Amino acid sequence: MLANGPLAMVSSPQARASFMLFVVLVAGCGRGPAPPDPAALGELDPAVRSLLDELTASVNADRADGGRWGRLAMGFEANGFLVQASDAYVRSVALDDRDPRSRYRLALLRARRGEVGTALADLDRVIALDPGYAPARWRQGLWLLDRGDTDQAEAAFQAAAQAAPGDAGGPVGLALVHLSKRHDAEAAKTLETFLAAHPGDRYALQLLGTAYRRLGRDADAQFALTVGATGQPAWADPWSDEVSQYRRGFPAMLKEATQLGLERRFDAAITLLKKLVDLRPDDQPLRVYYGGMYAAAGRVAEAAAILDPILAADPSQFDATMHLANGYLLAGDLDRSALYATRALALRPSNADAAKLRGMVNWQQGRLREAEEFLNAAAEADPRDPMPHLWSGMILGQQSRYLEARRRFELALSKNPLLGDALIGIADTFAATGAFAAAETALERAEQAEPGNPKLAAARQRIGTAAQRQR
Amino acid sequence: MRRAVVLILALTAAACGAPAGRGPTADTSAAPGGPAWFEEAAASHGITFVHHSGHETRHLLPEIIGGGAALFDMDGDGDLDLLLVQSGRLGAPARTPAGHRLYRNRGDGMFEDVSEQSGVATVSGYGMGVATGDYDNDGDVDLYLTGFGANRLLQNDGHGHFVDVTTAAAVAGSGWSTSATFVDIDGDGRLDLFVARYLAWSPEVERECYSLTGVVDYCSPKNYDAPTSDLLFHNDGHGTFTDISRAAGIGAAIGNGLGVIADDVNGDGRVDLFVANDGTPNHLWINQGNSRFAESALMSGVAIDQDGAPKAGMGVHAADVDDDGDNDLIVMNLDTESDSFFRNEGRFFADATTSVGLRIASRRFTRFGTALLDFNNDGRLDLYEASGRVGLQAETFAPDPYAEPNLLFRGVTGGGFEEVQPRGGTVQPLIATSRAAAFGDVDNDGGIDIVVVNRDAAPYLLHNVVNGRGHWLMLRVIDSQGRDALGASLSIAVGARTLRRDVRTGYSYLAANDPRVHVGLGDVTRVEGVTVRWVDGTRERFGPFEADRIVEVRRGKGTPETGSKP
Repeated sequence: MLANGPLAMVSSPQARASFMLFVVLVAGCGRGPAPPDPAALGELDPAVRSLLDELTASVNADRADGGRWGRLAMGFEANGFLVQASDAYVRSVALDDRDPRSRYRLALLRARRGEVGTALADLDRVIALDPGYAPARWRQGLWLLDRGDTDQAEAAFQAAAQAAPGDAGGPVGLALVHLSKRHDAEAAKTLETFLAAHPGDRYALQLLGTAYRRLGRDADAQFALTVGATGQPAWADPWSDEVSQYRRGFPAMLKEATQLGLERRFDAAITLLKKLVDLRPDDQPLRVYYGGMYAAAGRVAEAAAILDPILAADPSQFDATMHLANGYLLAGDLDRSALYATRALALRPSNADAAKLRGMVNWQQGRLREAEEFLNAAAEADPRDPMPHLWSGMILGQQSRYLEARRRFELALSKNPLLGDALIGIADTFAATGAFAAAETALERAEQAEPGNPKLAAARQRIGTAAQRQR
Repeated sequence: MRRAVVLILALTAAACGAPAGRGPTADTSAAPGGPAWFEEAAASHGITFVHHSGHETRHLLPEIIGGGAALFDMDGDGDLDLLLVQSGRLGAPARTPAGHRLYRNRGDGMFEDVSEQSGVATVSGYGMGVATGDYDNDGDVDLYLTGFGANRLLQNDGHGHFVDVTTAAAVAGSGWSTSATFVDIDGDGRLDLFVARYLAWSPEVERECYSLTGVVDYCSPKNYDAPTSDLLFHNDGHGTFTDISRAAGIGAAIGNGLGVIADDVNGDGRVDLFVANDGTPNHLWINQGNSRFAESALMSGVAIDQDGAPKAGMGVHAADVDDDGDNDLIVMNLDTESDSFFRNEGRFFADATTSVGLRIASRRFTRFGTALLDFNNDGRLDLYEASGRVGLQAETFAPDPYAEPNLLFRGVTGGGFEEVQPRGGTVQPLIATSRAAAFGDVDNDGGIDIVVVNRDAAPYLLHNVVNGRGHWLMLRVIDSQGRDALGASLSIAVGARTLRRDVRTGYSYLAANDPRVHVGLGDVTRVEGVTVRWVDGTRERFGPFEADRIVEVRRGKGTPETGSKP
């Protein structure tokens, strides 16, 4: 059999032996190319190593399974190994061309590397496989726009809008096209329509500000740009988000704990941080962060149990000091909060947060003049922050210094035009001086700016009652 | 037989897919393309400097963003000398020399290290960048070195000997200073000083950050959330300055300042200031007169670009790319973020990054030093970008994991750009962690050369070797004080076109540049006239000038333009 096969074409015994060796080696390498060995990636976090080992073993068990390659690719991508991820996605789509997801993620990686032409070809295939997946459409639009192909980009965004009428990608993308074509009125109209249904989309508001500025509507532009300044596109893309499930390791866990803390899910954050502290018992910044999470949760005794020993060993530890000042404030222990806030300010005299905290404590202690001084210092140290102005306005209002209070509220609004508390403060200052029409206008603005503000109803009742009494 | 086995093993490896090894993982080979635009010639021209970030074990943020460079004529001999700003070592004992080096251009193509005799070698502190200008109007160029801690003003005696006059001049500043520029903010004929500052940092606030692959790495400025205000020093004459940051309004906004440029962006005759901030919105300080400034980046359209969030602004330049008489702005950003090209439309700027062709090409790398200059003398501005990462990635271009290739873009008709191949304009791409880039005609041959400072490595001296460069003209513009007329703008009649160029040294990143105005002329062999708009608003006409020479344009020697007002 062999004599009639390829070996028959090999003449010398040495070459014949070599060919046999090749056959044996190829047979031994399984059913296709091997995935990269995670051991070759250098030093890895044990959790990342474990994940990649597991995904690699899965691929080795069946190298002809495109899905396994796709999952391995996500494991690489989520943990920063983009070249390996790209290679694995290529293998995945070669084995299973009907699955649009690996090709979609491959397109994203290629675009990131600047290979936009190839990425667009990938997206064409993705769209052919799943015409209803809107993110593929708006990404196509964005990349075409990047290349300056505005007409095709417009068509892609229109398709995105049809595929998912409620999503931002289509209409906001269309507005980008209009802006790029200098069709500013059309951009404004598109964005106004979108924002009527999605008032909280700050990126759309920012683009609207750009359109207004070009149209010479400076006052409208000022508002839209100030509110929209922090906006950036955050358009839903489930296929892309799936990758983050494969993120592993210490930094990923720390990031997750931080996110939990930001979401005020303190118990979950503390549990996660405890695991990290157990992994790295000598990591002092981590321990300080752990104690700080207890403080933020209002569990100041547990915070102190962690942070006091750190401060005993190193009284200059600023973060630990601030955490305790904050924790005691939340727990209502103003004297101890003041003590730690004062220490924090001694450590960093120009720190805005320390000054703000000290001002807040003074305010709660009824020491209004000192509170004002600290809040002024905080405002100077961080001119971006509206809160020192807001709180100063409230303190001035308490002292019936209405004009000064209003000025501070307006300063707070110049930093954040959507700060409902500042608009309520302005309404109160007008009401206190009998200017009820102006107070009503301010309340209306507050309702528009921050409809969910819990103080609105009480403010409306308070001011309404005062107006009736006046009449 | 052995050869056959090797072949078989190679075939097998190819068939089975060889696992990835370590080492550089990105393609560093030269892309196909035209001839080189630059030749690297630092060592062969006598430049022995090696940058040291001072990195040991902890990742201290200042280590990842220095050092600086200046091309300036220290001794008035007509050619550019070179200062290289060393970072040094954080925590080094006081008075430990940072290790800055000053090289005298001998005029024969070689540089001579004159650091010791110049007084530059003894300057201490952790260095960042440098600004150049004749602050005392004595006809020579002085130096202002920025760094972490106190900055240094070095007064030139005219022969390249420098004396530290920081204390007497009261310009030490504080905190962490990065790029700086001399600028006459009030048209009084004396150069004031603007200093960008990065963030409120000290070794005590350093924290541990990680790369995406889980390796300990440098933090992002966002990890500290400690932006700070910039500094403005008013030159009072008699060798002293007053810190007017607060009085001028500059203290009213904070950011992570890395790049700065002075330019009259709104054409009102008063010089404004643009600051590229890293991770916080950029600042545009509009000069209100009376030494007062108002921050208006958001309304002017340069705080952020069309991508929404603040980008990692670093190097910056301003130039009239579209020949409409006003200067456009370009800002370098982090990888995955494109450059920000802001087209000046008079009342505001528009993000034109896509339409000029930089949107895709720029965003693969992290760019720092930059300039819009005409490297091939075809009459259109080209663009150079010096790159180098600030964070680790799994994909590497060289054993230095932060190293990246630099980029060069050719200016094309209509005000756009196309990337030059081979990448970076050299035969082989130069891969390093590049930071400052200083620009100037080092050999006075009419071609703009580049000095690039590389972190923990030797710098590049990129000698311009563009084949068949066009004609050119270089103008040294001197004001009534006898110094380079920083802030003056020139309208240059080149054939049917009128080109706008400016006299400035402060642009790019941590760098000071050739103050002479270079203009590429293409096929044009004669410039019919040059109109200089001096800082005080008066206009004077000079010329005609034959091409391919360096000429001096001195205030009072030209023809005043009618209607010109001081």
